[in-house]
Amino acid sequence: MTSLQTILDRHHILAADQALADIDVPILTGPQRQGDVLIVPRPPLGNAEHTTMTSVPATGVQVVRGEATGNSHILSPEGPIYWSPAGQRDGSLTLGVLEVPAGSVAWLIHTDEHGANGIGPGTYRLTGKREQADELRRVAD
Amino acid sequence: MGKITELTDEQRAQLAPYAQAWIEWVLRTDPTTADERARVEDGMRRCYEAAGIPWHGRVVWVRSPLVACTAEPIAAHILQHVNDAVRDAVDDAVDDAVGGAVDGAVGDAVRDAVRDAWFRYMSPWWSWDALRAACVEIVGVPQAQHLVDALRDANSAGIWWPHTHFVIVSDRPSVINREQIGPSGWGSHRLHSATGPSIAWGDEWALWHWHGTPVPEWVITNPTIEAIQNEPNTEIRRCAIESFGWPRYLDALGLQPVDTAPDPGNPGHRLELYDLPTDTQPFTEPVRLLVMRNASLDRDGTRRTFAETVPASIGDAVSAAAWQFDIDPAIYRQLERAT
Repeated sequence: MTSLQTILDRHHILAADQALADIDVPILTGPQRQGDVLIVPRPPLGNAEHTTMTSVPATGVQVVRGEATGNSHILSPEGPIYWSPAGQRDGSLTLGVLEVPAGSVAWLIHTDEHGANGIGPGTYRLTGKREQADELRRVAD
Repeated sequence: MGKITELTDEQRAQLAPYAQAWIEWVLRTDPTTADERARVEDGMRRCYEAAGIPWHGRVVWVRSPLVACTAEPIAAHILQHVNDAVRDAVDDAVDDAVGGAVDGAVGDAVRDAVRDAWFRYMSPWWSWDALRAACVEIVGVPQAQHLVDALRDANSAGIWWPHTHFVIVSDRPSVINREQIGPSGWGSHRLHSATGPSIAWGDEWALWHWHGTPVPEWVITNPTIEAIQNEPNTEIRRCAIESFGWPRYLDALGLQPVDTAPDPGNPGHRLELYDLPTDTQPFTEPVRLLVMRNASLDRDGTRRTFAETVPASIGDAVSAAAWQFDIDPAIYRQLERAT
């Protein structure tokens, strides 16, 4: 089991809520949400698509580019994990595809209030959030 | 000397830090010291000399551009000699020196590098000054250093208006509040403060912005239901409601949600979907409001309640939340955990 404190320490992030820092972060394989980012299981990628994935370095990778408040959602690996960011197509909310092989864990960490989510083995789509204005606009916390 | 047709790697490497130094220089909010004022006035003198116009030595310092704008036409009218030739002439001289010596491609590269590091709200006048200074000081355009220096000194307080017989110059702002809305670069910041002015000149004059939209002071300091209802401009009204807080606003209107449901993955908290009366619709497209509570506490220990807009055609709260992620509501209901 891994506490939120342990996960945040790896990236030198101060826990927003100390009361929660010692609680173990559950490792799940179903749909989860972290603020404005949704994690949804999807079928595994084919071999051709799989070649576009890159190994996530120990320092992590930011899943939302250019966030409004400077807070970031960061994928942090425990064991090898693979990430393929989506192209910046207009209208698509997809942020990218994550693959967590058996034996690995992907920690999605928010640098401010949202803490961390543990993602177990499987393939997932990470999705951003929108709202209806005069044009559809992306929401980012 | 021939045209400069390409930049060295060394020159390219200097551009970003050079632009950053200009940005910090332009964003200063400390008061001008006596030494700085003397330097500003000397820069003005050199601008007049470069333009071939006699230096009158009369510099009027005012606290804010508002006062300058009021005082300037009055003074000019009294003196009956309005003349903007000084800055124009110096501008032209620098342009000639830079334009004659820099190839288009190099000019573009320098401009892009400077512009990329610039701020949307700042006058293009500043980025233009920085571009020309970069051409002289990094690219090495000759015989214009004294012009760049004169302009930089003259511009180092606030904006100034040169005339044949006098100059009016404004102090720097004492407050500049911005928020970052994207990766550092062109348009990466906009003016915003939820608690005070976005730009202020002492106690004399201030501007107010809500996430980049210019708004009247009451929107920031004292948004009330009455003021919001009486505001005819929909953009300002929307900003005022956001400043007041959508949840508070819905409460104050006494509206009841059209649907509520447990928030999937966020035990103990509910989603609420509200219909908005026609006269409070914030956009052209009709919307409903989904009110949510954060699954995690903020750093200050409070739990944020917030509202976001969804198409008015959506009938229930979970479908509204699922629409925000463009996902099947059946999958959204299965959320195991939200943080």
